[in-house]
Amino acid sequence: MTMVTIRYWAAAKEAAGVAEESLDTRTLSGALDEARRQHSKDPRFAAVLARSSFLVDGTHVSAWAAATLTLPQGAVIEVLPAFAGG
Amino acid sequence: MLGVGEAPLSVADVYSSVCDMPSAGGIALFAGVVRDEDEGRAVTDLGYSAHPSVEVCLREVVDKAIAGYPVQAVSAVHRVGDLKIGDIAVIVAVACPRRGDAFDACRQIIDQIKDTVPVWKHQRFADGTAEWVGAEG
Repeated sequence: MTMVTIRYWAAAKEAAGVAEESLDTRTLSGALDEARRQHSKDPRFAAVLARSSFLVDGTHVSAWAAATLTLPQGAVIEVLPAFAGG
Repeated sequence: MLGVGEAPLSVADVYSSVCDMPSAGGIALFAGVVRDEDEGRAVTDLGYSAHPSVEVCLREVVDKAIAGYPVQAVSAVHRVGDLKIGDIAVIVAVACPRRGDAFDACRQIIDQIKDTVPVWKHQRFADGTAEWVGAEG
C-alpha cells in the first residue's frame, strides 16, 4: 500500500469540497484517476483537473511524466488550477 | 520590491523603488486594476489567493527579464485578498537605459506573471454568481 496525500487549491478545493484527502495509489496518474472517481458527482472537478498543473513534494511534474512517476510513501500531490494573476 | 501581500499597492512606492538609477533613461510601469466587467457580466469584487511558492515563481519571472534585457532596476508586486473595483492587483516597473527595452521587459514580466505564477482569481458577479477565472476553460 502506498498512501499519498492529495491537496487541492482554489477552484480544485471548491470542486472537491475538501482541502486534502488520502489515496492509496502508486503513480500520479493513478491518484488523479482515483480522485476523479471519488468526485465524479461534481462535473466541475474533472474540468478543473484537466486544466491544472501538479506538484509532487513541491516539484512541478509535467503531464507526460505523470503516468510513469512512482510516488514514494507519504508523497504530497498538489493540484494547482490554471493561474489567473494580474 | 518583489512580493505578494494583502496590503494595498502604491504606484508611487513602486516607482520610487526603480527611479534612482542614473543610467536608466526609461521606466515602464504597468498597473493591473480590478475591472467592473468580464465578458459582458458586471463584476462586483474579486478575491485573489496564491500558493506558498508564489514569491519563488515571481522571482523566476523577474530573473528571466534581468537575463534578457539591460534591466537597471525592477519591481513586481501582486496583491492577494479581497479587492474591489478600481483596486490595483499588480504593479510591474522596469528601468532600462532606453524605453524600448523597458517596455519589452515590463510586458514580458506581466505576461509571464499571468501564465506561470500561482495566483488564483475568484470573481463575483452582480447577479450573485461567482467563478474561478480560467479554472474550467
